[in-house]
Amino acid sequence: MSTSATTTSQPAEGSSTVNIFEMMDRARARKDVISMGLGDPDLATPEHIIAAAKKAMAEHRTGPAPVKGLPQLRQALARKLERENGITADPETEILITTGGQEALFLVIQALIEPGDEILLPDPRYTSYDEAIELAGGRMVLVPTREEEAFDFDPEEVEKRLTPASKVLLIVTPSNPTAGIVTPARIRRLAEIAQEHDLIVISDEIYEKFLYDGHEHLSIASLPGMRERTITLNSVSKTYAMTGWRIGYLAGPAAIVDAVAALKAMVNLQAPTVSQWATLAALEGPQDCVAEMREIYAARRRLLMGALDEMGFSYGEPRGGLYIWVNISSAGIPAIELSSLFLDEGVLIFPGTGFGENWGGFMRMTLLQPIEVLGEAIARMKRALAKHRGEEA
Amino acid sequence: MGRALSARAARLTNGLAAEDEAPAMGEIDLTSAEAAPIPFHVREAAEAALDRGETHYTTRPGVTMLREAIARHLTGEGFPASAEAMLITNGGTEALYIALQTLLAPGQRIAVAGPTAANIVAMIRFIGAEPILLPAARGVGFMPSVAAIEEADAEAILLATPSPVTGQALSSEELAMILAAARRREMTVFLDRSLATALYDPSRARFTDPTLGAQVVQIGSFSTGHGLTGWRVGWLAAPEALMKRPRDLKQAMSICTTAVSQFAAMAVLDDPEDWAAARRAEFARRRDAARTLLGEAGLATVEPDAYPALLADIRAVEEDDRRFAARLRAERGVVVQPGSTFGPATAGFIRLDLGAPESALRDGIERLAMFATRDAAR
Repeated sequence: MSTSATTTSQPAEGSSTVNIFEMMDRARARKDVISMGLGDPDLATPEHIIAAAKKAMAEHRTGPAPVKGLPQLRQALARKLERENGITADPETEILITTGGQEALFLVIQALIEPGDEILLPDPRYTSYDEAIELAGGRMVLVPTREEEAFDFDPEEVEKRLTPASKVLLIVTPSNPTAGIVTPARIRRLAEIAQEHDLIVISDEIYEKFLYDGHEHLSIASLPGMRERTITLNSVSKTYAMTGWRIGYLAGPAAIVDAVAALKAMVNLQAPTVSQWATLAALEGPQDCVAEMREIYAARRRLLMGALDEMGFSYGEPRGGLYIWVNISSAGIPAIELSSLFLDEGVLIFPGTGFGENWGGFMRMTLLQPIEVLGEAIARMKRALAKHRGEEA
Repeated sequence: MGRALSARAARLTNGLAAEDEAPAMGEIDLTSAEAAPIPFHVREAAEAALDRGETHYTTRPGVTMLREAIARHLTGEGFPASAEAMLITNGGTEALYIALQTLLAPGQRIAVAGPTAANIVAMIRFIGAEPILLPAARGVGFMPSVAAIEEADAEAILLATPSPVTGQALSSEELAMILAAARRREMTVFLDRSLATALYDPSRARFTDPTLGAQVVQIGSFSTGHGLTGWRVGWLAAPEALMKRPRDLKQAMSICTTAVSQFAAMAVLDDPEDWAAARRAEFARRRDAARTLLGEAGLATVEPDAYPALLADIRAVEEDDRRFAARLRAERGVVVQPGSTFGPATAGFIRLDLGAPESALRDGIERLAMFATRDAAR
């Protein structure tokens, strides 16, 4: 199904993201709540990254930086994109540092979308996309993803929804919230569709480092003919547990990067300088920390999957990312009510409606608590379910 | 590939491409400030925040203690504010964008009072509103008359005091008259006080009509006054009834403001060594030296109330400020901003940034003085 965004300049009242934050307020009022809500890694930013930030401060490298970001950082990103993603990008003209991945996405949407344009994106979805698209006056065309397909993005479902107004195809892999990935074969087919129908592709790859069970990440911009029409979005927030530093980046054709840079200059001039030096250390320093984090998340994922099996909930096949997208229909109540019961027992979990209006039977659980805390959260969820099912019986 | 950019993004990009080139190697740039070394106590606070693990998202509107501290400060200055009705933003520019984008509807008209940077006028057009540039009143600096404000066909007004372009600040009485006029016309007032922390005389930040002061949408910044430009911390304060949309847009745009930067800003407000006073004194010294040199060369200057701007009146030697600036650059290698880029009120003036590196400032002003006395009239 598709929904249409109006051309008002303001985000909708009571948008899904905002409801989530109201729920967080309720959780904050209690001291003992375990949060499996927000996508903020509990792990600390690795020590060598913090040391680099302190060194930049001690050496007074804290002053203004160019709109597109520190040249050294753009060069490091060009190397990273080449080495890890097979994407060639000129650090002078084709890379821009943003104040977090969120800003990259917000600005790219404003740069590309205008009233009348359609943007195809997977459903369920990270609903901050909705607000950015709505502000630009674009029309969201939602492409459903399905549990039985592990929430992979189906190229046929995309093709069915193409119209003369289709302009942008948004790919998110791994996905927030579903933990699905777009498998390489489907990435290749989507690339063909984009070229056949002259679509611009935005590829959001911020969870690229967290893939499980041998699954592989493929960046669509690395495919022949795609670098000219793809904007790759990424961030160090999740990869290096750096959410509070607010550094994201994008790579794409120079004309689009230039326009995004003009917007960046308009909305806040530059990404914070100290955070950029910290990011340089993250990219150029030892990468063992990323593998370690992935192992930690993988262990939590196994624990949570086992517990969900015991609770009688299904969850597709979580192939990547930091979440599990749980089908709670066996509980017999909408997710918003189950969220409330979980919160009564002291666990904060966002209902699926925070990720699209069609998802009232799902919840997003994060892997972002230490394993022993996760164990306690599981015990509380089970208690809440036992009470609920006891009352029903 | 078809047309990639949205029309408004293309307009913005083309507008910027038409701007002058950035200073080249070997040229003396008097248009922007060099980075100020950060005070030791600020660095200590930032390091301590990192050691405490402040590397995660902060609360969405910003660290509560920072908002409380700013609110206390603003209330003390005559602009009653609360931590609840405040957002910490990635610099003052983000605050201004969020305020204008959410509180102006497309098609609405906003009066722009006083000389204003072209990028702010471009921002207003980008969000779909229409800027109405008010003419300066004769003989009283660069601001429009109260009558011009009352007569403006606009739903809102944007003004900055002190002005980043001229460095001049409105007195409490002048500001009260403008705010009262805007209130009579039921205009939303966007008041940019980003340079209130850069006043040579900090007592001039005080406003004596808190009833009027409580009604403005106010923007502030830790950038110029405190020399924290690279850290990107600013704020937006407004009556609570207006704050929902700004909060939502901030979340959608950038989630929250950089954690370590917010803790650095908090330390700035608590200034044990009176570092800010030393910074003011340094700028005052530069201002006085520059004004003396330029005066000797026959260039009158506008007395600034806040750093870093210094406006020089070049009409005695050349009517056309763009031509003057272009020749100064071509013949003497000194880059300054022609006043007419900020609107007609500052035509015939050039703007210097006293935060330029000291040696560049000295050489640049000497060359400028030489140019004005020997070459300009040629």
